[in-house]
Amino acid sequence: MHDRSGRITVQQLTKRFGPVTAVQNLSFTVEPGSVTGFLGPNGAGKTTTLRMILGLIRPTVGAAVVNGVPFSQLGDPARVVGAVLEAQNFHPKRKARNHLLVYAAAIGAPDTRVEHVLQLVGLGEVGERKAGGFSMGMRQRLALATALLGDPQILVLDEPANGLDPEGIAWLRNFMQSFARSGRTVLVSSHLLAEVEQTVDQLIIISRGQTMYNGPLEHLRKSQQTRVLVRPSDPEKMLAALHEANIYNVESMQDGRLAVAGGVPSEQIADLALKAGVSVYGIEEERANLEQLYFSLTQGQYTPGTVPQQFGPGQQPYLPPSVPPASPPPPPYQPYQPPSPYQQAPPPYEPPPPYQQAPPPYQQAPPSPYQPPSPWQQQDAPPSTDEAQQHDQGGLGGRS
Amino acid sequence: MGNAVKAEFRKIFSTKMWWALLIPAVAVAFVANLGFSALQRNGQDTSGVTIPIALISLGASFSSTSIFAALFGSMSISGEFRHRTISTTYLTASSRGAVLTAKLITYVVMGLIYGVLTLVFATLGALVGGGSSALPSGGSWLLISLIGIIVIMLWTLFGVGFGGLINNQIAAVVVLLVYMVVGETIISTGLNAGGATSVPHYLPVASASDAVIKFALDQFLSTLRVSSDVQSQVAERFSAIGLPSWWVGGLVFIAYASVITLSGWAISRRRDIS
Repeated sequence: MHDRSGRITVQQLTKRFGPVTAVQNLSFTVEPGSVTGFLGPNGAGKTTTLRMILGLIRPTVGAAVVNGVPFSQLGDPARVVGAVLEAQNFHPKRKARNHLLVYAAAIGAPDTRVEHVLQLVGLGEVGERKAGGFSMGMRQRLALATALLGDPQILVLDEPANGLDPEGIAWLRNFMQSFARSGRTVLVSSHLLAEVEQTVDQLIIISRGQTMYNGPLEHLRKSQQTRVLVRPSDPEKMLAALHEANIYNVESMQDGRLAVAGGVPSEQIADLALKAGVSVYGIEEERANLEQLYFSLTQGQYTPGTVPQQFGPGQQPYLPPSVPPASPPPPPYQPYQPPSPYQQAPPPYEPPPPYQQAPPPYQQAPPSPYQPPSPWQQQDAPPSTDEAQQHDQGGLGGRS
Repeated sequence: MGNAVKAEFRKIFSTKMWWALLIPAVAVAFVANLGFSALQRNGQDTSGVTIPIALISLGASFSSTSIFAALFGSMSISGEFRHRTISTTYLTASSRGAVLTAKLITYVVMGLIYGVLTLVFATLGALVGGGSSALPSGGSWLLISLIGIIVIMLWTLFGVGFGGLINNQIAAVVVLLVYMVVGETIISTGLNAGGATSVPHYLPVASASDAVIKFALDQFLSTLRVSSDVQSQVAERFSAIGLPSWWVGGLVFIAYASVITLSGWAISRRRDIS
C-alpha cells in the first residue's frame, strides 16, 4: 500500500526508444505543499518522464514512485494522482458531461462529483456540448476536470497553459497555488520559464533528458548575477583604479563603459572613481534575468557549432553585449550548480566550473531551428531592474 | 472490476457507434429472411410441401451480423488510441488488466445483444415473408440460434483483440472489413486453385460460418422428406469436398478468437502509451 505522503520520487530514470535516448539518468523528488515546475525545451524528455511517473511508459532503467510505490501498485490511482496530459483526449462526439461520467464510474466516484468538477473548472454551462466542439481552452478545462474527479492528492500537468487565454492562465495559476497550499502536490511542465515563473516554488530544469537544475526557484533567482556598468570620463584611468583596488573582473565594453562583475557594490566603484579623479557619467546595476539563466542551462541541448568570432551586436541574439568572467559561488546544497547566463552551457554530467575563463558569447551556437523563440531575443537592451523587481513580486509575494 | 465494466458501458452508450452498426446488421437479417422465406411461400403454392427454408437464411444472418459485431469490437481499444482516451482510461483504473478484462466482459454482453437482436429480426423477417411454416421446429431454431449467438460473441471478442493488436482504428476497421468481406474469399480461391482445397475451411471466416451454416444445413437436410440413402450421399459429397463437420469449424474458430483476443490483451498490457 502507498504511504499517502504525496511525494513523487524519480530515481535514475532512463528511457530509450530504439536508438533515441529520451530520458537519461534522471533523478528528482517532488514534495507536497509546493508547486514544482518541470522545465525544458521541447524534446527534452518532459512528457516521457511524466508518462513514466504515471505508469504509461515503462522505463528502460530506473524507477519512478508515487507515494512510495510504482503507479501501477497504487490500487486506486485516480484518487492519488490526477493528470492533465494533453487537451486532446476526448471522444469528439461524446458530451463533456458524459465524458466525465465515464471516468467517474471508472474511479467509483458518485455522479454528483461530475457536476462539482464541471462547476469548478467553469464548464457548468456547456456540459451537454460535445467535446469535439470545444475550444482549446475549454478542452484544457475539461482535461483538468477529469483529473480532479477523484479528488487527488497529486496533480500532474503537462504543458497546461497551451491554448489557454490569459484569463485561463491566471485562473490556472491561482488554482495550482491554492491546490498546493492545501498541502497537496503539483508538478507542472512547461517549455517556457516565463509561463510558470510566477507560479512555481520549486524548479526542475532538464535538457537532453538530464537534470540541469533541481531546487527552489528562489535559489536560482538569487544566483542571478549582478554586474555594475559604469561610464567613466577616462576608462583607462578608471580601469587602473579598479585594478589597484584588486578588482579584476572588469571588462571594457565597445561603448566605452566598463562592466564590473563579481558583486562589487556600485558605491565602492563610485568612491574609487572619486579618489582617482575620474568623473562618472552614469552607473547602473545590471541583472541577468531568469530567462537568460534558463536558456543557458538548456543550451547544452544543441551542439555548439563553429561560429566566427566577430559578430555585430545585432547578431548576438540571446546574450548581453559583453562577458563578465565570473560566476557566483555555488550554493552548497544544490546538486546542480546553475552556470552563469553569460557562460557557455556545460557539457552533460559536468557541473560548470565556478570560475571558468568564459569564452566570448559569440562562440555559442546560434539557436537551433527547433528552439522556440524567446521574447527576450528581440531585446536590445539588457533587462532593467524594474523588470527583475516585477518578477520578484509576481505570484511569489504571498509566500515568505 | 464493477467500476471498470460500468465505465465501459458508459463509453459505449454515450456515442452512436453501437447502434450505427447494430441497425444495419438487424436490417440485413430482417430483409434477407423476409426475402428468402417469401421464396418458400411461392414454392408452397405449386407443390403443397412446406420446408423450413428459413433455417438456411437464419444461419446466414448470424454470419452477416458477425461482420458488424467484429467491426464494433475492433474499435474498443483502437478507438481509445485514436481519440487518445487510453491514457485517461489507464490512469483511472486499478490496473491495465482491469481495463482489458472489463472490455472483454462488456463486449461479450454487446455480442450477445447483437446476436439476440439478429435472432429476433431474422425470425420476424421469416414470419413476415413465409409465415410460421418457413420456420424450423423449436429445437432446431434454438440450437442454431445458440450457435449463431456464440459465434457473434466470439467475433466481437476477435475484434477487440484485433483492435488491441493494431491500435490504429482506421487500419483495424479496414483490414477486418476487407478480410471478412472479400479477403478470405480471394485467399480461398487462390488456395483452391493451388490444389489445397481443404485448407480454406480452416480459415477464420469459413470456420465460423461453417459452425453455423453447416449446422443449419444438416438440420435442413434432416427435415427434408428424403430417404436416408440420399442423406448419406449428401454427407459423402460434403466430406469429399473437404467440408468438415459443423463442430470442427466451431472449434477452429474458438481457437482463432482465443489467440487473437489473448495476444491483443498481452500486447495492450505492456504497450507504452506515449
